[in-house]
Parts: sequence; structure tokens; C-alpha cells
Amino acid sequence: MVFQPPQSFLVSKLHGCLLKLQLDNVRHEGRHRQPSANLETVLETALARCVRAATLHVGKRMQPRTLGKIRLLDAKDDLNNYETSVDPERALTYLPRIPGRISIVSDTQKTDAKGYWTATIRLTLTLLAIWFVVSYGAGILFRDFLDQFSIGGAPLGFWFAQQGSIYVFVVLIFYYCFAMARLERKYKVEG
Amino acid sequence: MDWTLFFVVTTFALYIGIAVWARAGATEDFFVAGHDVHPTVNGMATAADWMSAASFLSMAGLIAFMGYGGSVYLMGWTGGYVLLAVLLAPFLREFGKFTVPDFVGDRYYSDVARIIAVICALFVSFTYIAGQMKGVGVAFSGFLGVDFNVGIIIGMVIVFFYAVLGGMKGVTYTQVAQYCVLIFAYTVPAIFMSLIITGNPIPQLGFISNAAGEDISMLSKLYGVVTDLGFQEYTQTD
Repeated sequence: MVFQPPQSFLVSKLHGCLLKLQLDNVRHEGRHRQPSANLETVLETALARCVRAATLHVGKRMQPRTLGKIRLLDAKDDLNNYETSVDPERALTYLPRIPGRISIVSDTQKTDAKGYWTATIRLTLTLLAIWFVVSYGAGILFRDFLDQFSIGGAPLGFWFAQQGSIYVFVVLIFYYCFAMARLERKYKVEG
Repeated sequence: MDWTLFFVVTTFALYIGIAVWARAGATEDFFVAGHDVHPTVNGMATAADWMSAASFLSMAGLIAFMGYGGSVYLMGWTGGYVLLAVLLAPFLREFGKFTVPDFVGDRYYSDVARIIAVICALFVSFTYIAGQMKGVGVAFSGFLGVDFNVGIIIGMVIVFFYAVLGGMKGVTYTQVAQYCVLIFAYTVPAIFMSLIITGNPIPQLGFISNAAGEDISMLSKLYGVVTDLGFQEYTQTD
């Protein structure tokens, strides 16, 4: 792998991650073949991989955010997943969620990725349950039952099919945005 | 005719102007408008997708004709936006991929999944385009007094021009222009119809109000009219 001398900005931003990756790489090499003699090469490879993964993921305009993500891989160590700390690119595929969704900026704060993902899934399932109940449920399956009642002359089941469900859909979308923003703040994830 | 021609030509000029102004310089500009479209603007563009040529020219009439049976269209495509917002859009955005097949293929590490996504995308697009192009043909052949097929070709050339030149930014801002026209064209008649028939200026409330000056709900009165004409009641059709 050809090592491109990084800009000073990159180096300083990646500093914390660099050391970690370097260690991991040594460990990795050691397990499978002879420990790498040249520590600097390992370090360079690690950095090159970092940058490659970064480019791969977001493209030039969002590099600062990407660097945050790379640093998170380092923080991810607390998952005790050996694979995650070997190769940033491969590590991304092992995150227990969609890679791009994780990114932290702070050095000290670790992200509770699992908690965040569980909360996201719970929110999604809840909203989809409501989505199902108002459209398929109220509008189609329970239409006959609901049609006994009426709202301003319109049978209630029919009203749900043509009006009510749509209002609920709009509310669901707004609530999702609001709730996700709150989750991202709570778990210190960059949205 | 003169005024029609004026409006059509002005609209074309506006779209092409937007395309030239928004012309893409990089891949990111082309696919995601360089990440700098404001959410409100994006929402307006998305809304223009919801109420496009096909829905304006035929869906409104189809739903009016089909009554309850037409509800599947309403629930289907508004409900689809919920699925899009909750299941796809945020991940696509964060994943840093430009297209859905790219995202699906990379996310599930499978080229088979990628190909299936491509086929789905093509299928959905063709179905959508077929409806839209029919609308475009009807509109242009009517407005410009040209043959239906010529109308379609004129529409295609315009769309091709602004989509290729402007990419997503061009498409987004032409959609915003469409949104402004459509939201006006949709709401003004609805408000006035509601006002005249029920005395309530908000159509959604007018729908469940009494007919103006009478002690009978608007829908009951509607039943009277449609059943006299030999149709089923609006709320009971299949």
C-alpha cells in the first residue's frame, strides 16, 4: 500500500486513533505471521487504511465527520470484538448497525452504540405498528366495525381510510424526526 | 391560446434557467445536490413528487370515482412516505451512497441484492414514468395544440435537459417550482369548493361538515346525487 504523507490536519485529528491502530496491527500481524519489524510501516499502513476507509465512506466534503467515525472504531474496543479493531474498513462491516450511523467527535466520550441502536429499533417498530393499525387496521380490517360510528356524516372506518390515516402518517414522520434527534443527543451520536 | 403559450414557454424557460443555474460540477452535486439543500426545500421537492402530473390529471378523478376503493391509493402512497422516512432515507443518507441499489448491495454484501434492487428501481421508475408521460402528453398536446406524441417528446426533451445538466440540484429546484404551482392549483379550488358547498374554508373539515345552510351532512347530500346517477354511495364503493 502506497503511503501518502497526510496533511498536518489529518495527523492531528487522527492522532488518538493512530496509536491504537498501530498496536492492533502489531497484534494482528503477530498472531498470523512474524511481528512487523518496521513499526513505522505498520503505522503508515494503518493511517492509509484509515484514510481509505474515510474516502470510501463519505467523500471529500465530510472528512471531519469521517475522522470522527474512524476514531470511534478505536472507542469501539469496548465491544471486545477483536475484528473491529484490526482493519477500519472491515471493522465498519462488523458494527452491530449500519456503519454510517455511528460517529462521535469527542475523544473522551464513548458512544453507547448498542443502546442507541436498540432505542432506534424500538422507535421504528412502534411507529410502524401505529402505521399498520391506522391504515390496514382502521381503514381496511376493522372498517366494518368502525363504520358503525360516524364522524360528521362520514363512517369512521371510511374516514380513517381517506383522511385519518394520512394525518397520522404525517404526524409519524414529524415525530420520527423529533425522536431521532432526541436519541442522537442522548447517545451523543452525530446525526 | 396566447396566454397558454406564454405560460408554457415561461415555465420551460424557468426550468431551463434553473438547470443552467444549478448545473452540476461534481458527482456529489449531481446525485445529492452537494448536501446543501435545505430540509424545507427538499420537503417541497418531495411534495411535488407526491402531487405530480399523474395525480393531478387522473388520480383525483379516479379517487372521486372510486370512493372508498380509491383509499388504497391515498393510504398506499402517503403511507409509503412513512416507510421511506423510517426505514430507508436516514440510512441511505448516513451510508454515504448515492443510489438505493448501491446502498442495498453494500449493506447486505451481495451483488444479487444489488441486482434485485436495480430491477425493482427500473420497474418502479417505468411504472411511474409511464403515468407521468401520459400526463405530460395530455397536458402539452392540449396546451400547445400539438399531436399527443409530439407533446410527450417535448416534455421528455425538457426533463432530459434539466435532469442531465442540473442533476439532483436541478431536479430539486424545478420540483420546488412545480410544488408552488401545484399546491396553489390543488388548494385554491378545494378551498372554494368546500366554502361554497359547506361554508367551511378548510376542505378537510368541510368533508365532515353539514352542507351549507342545511341540517344534513355534506356526504349524505353527496350520496343523494351519486345514487340518483346510478353509482354506489361514495363511502361504500369497493
